[in-house]
Amino acid sequence: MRPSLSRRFGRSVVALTLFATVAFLIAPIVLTVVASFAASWTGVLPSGFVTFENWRAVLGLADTIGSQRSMGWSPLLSLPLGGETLSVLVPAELAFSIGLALGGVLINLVVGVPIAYAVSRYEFPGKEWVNAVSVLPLVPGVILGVAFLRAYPDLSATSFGLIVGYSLLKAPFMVMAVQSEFESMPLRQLEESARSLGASWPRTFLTVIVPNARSGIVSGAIICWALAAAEFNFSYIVWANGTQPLALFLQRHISNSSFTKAAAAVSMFFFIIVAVTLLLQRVGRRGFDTRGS
Amino acid sequence: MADLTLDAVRKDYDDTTALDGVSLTVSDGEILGVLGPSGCGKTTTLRTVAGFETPTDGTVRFDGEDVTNVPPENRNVGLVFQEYALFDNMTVTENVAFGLKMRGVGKRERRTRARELLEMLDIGAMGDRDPTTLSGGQQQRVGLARALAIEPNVLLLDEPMTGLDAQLKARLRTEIGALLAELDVTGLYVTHDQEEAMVMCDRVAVLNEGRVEQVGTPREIYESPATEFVSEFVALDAPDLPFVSW
Repeated sequence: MRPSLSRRFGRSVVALTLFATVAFLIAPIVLTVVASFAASWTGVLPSGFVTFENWRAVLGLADTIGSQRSMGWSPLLSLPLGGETLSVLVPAELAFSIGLALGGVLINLVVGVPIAYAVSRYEFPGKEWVNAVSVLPLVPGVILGVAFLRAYPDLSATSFGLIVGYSLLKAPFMVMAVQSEFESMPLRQLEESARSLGASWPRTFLTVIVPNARSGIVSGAIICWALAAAEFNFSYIVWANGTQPLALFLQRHISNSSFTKAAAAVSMFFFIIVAVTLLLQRVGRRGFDTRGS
Repeated sequence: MADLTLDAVRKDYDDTTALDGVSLTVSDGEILGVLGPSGCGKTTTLRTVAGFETPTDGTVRFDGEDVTNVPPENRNVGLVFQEYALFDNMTVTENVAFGLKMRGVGKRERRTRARELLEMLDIGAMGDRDPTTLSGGQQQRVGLARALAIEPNVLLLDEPMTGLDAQLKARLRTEIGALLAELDVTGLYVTHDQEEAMVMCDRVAVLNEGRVEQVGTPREIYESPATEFVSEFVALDAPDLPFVSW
């Protein structure tokens, strides 16, 4: 019998379609990274390779003026080394933003995981409301930023204000990611097994429940971090002066510099996202390992 | 192991009564089957013995000692669930050793004891594996080993074989039944499968709407059902039963 058409071509057609779609979506990212090493980018393809001027400018290694001011450098950590001090320098805005976003993620973890657990595990009056309120901050950052400034005028223009705001804005993503993980686990049975074996409730939660939900917690943390680091609207409203959050820095570069410099700034952001994602995944695998009993 | 007594245990929720005066005794080394339709109070009975439900009224005793208000982690009760509920963040051996770890048993000793139990349950080679890589039957053996490792006063089994296929069920029934008898385990075996109750249990209690309808050997339940409910309930899937085996 002759093999059917779908049998003969089905697999390659699906593979080709997928490949074309992915290539189409990824092309702008690849082009941006490529363009960051080019002198100009006017047509579809950038030209004038290879130059590191854009990266030097963005990273603050070249002289710049006025609004094109690049990142300042600040010591991330200083080690006293035989009388002299060895400092590891990082772009100030980079470190600032990564720190702010991580601070937000930390709050999300401490608050979001227990909320997700309570909602998945227990029946209690007002459960639907807790669920609804925990996803409410999905409102745009502009709205929340204005409301935030009105409610807590003292937190305006402070790093703490930004951290709290990021955690508030991104909380729904943490709760949803962790909740869907919890709901796929036999929560009650896991909890009761551990309790009956002699573990107290806090111990059960920390050594059994949380580690068993690690994949959801790690994805929640990655999503929250990436979204907080890139949050423009809220940062724009709450931030006033001093070291800028990365999103504002990017915006400044995109609107005030040549296209290729903007490309370098955006590429840098891509790389940070990839690095932090890999880091969080690693921490997720190692950090939850309660081996060695 | 210990004997277990439930004395007129009542459990009321806001608008329903889950247990309406349940009295049961399980003597040392005996497995009592708890049989009944869903919503009859089987699982509530089990969770009351484990300490996850506090009775509205009545007492639970292990060896005559009132444990009604003792928290679950201090009752020394083993639990086996239909869902296995293994800790996926630990290896098989660590799962089995978890209860001993909570009791402060040293690392070497708890590993040795975990290994012995795994050998006994015929999964000695699986010790270093992740529970998720095991088959359903193997996972349930790990669950049983984990519950037995703490040498529980009472072993509570909540539909432990419901998720398994028929052939495997038949094999496990025989094997585990023999093991529980050999270890002299006092246990409550919750199931809706009559055949399973007949093979695994010394006596059977039939529950309906939070009340005990009849307690007796499987044979008594079949041959002289005490109430209309029991006779209807056992008649549901009776024809396939291996009558000779009791």
